[in-house]
Amino acid sequence: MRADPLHYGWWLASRSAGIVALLCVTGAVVLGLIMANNLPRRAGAKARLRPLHEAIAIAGLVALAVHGLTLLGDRWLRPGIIGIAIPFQSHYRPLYTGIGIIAGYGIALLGLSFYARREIGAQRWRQIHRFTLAAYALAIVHVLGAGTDAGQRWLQVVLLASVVPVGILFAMRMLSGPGVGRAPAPAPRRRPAAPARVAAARSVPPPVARPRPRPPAGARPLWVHPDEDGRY
Amino acid sequence: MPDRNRMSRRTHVVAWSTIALFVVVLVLLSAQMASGHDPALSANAKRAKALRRQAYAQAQARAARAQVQAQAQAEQQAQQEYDQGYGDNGSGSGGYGSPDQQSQPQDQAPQDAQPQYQAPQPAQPQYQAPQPQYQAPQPQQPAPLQSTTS
Repeated sequence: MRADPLHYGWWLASRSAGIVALLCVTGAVVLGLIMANNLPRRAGAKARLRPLHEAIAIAGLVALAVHGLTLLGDRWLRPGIIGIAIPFQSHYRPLYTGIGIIAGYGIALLGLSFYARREIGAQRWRQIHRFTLAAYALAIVHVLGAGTDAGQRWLQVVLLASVVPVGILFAMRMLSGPGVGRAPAPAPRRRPAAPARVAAARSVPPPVARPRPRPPAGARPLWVHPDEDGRY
Repeated sequence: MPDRNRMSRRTHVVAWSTIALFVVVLVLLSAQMASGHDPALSANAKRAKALRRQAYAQAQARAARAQVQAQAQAEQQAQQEYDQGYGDNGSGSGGYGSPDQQSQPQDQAPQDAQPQYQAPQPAQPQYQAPQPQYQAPQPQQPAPLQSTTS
């Protein structure tokens, strides 16, 4: 059935944004897993990947917001604010749409928690951030269940190209153990034992206040401007 | 400072790539829809076609049932008239009763019993098996023996 795409502009925009969001989230997850697996061996490579990971994740979040907001303009679906914001309230495939909303919230919260990691604590933030993979899996379920193009061969290829590298990297991460990708912790600074500390304190003479060296006679002070005739 | 410039440039590249990707996907989906291959719209069309086909089949079945029912009713009525004709002429003089009774039936079949839809008659099979061309040769009569003796 031929149709005018201009009549379905919001719907097409939402579908496009959803596909872009999927690709961006996949890219961010792949980069995160690469860093977690410590795959870039060169020094400084990880530091160069981190801003890229962050930028792609933010782009994915923007695409995710566009995916939801453009649905509001769709005349056929008419989901309303409740339909796109509260899980399982949409009348169109409520289960899979609800899973997608949960996945969106999960990706947004777990991604943006990066900016609150000082408050959360780095160790705890890292543990929380791992759940991004679960949100990614929910997003894949949402695409398969509620995606208009889920039956199309090209989207299945895109999904396969997304899932396979993530699966491989995740398996590598699981098989390599919990502490492999982490940077080696700095060696703890050893404090000298108490008697040695006392002895060291006794051996070092207390600081003596030295007299400030005076400038030699005739030297010009730096903070005085010269007169018009050049004298200080 | 160069690091900051590099990061800013990389962020810009990611942002513009995302926008370009969005536009490309949008154009591809629009082209798919304009060419009549949109999965959702074609699924709707298929569903509507299936519903129409189902409704047509149901109407056809209803009409066939009504036709059978009307036929049975007509046969029953004819049987009743026949029996009634014999019953009136108890003398056994034969016939189907008086001419008045024949011309004016006792009860008419209801109008709504007539089917509105005429179900198509089952088509005669077009295919006819070819007649076998081969004919077995008839056994020839043996020629009468002629005596060579004269």
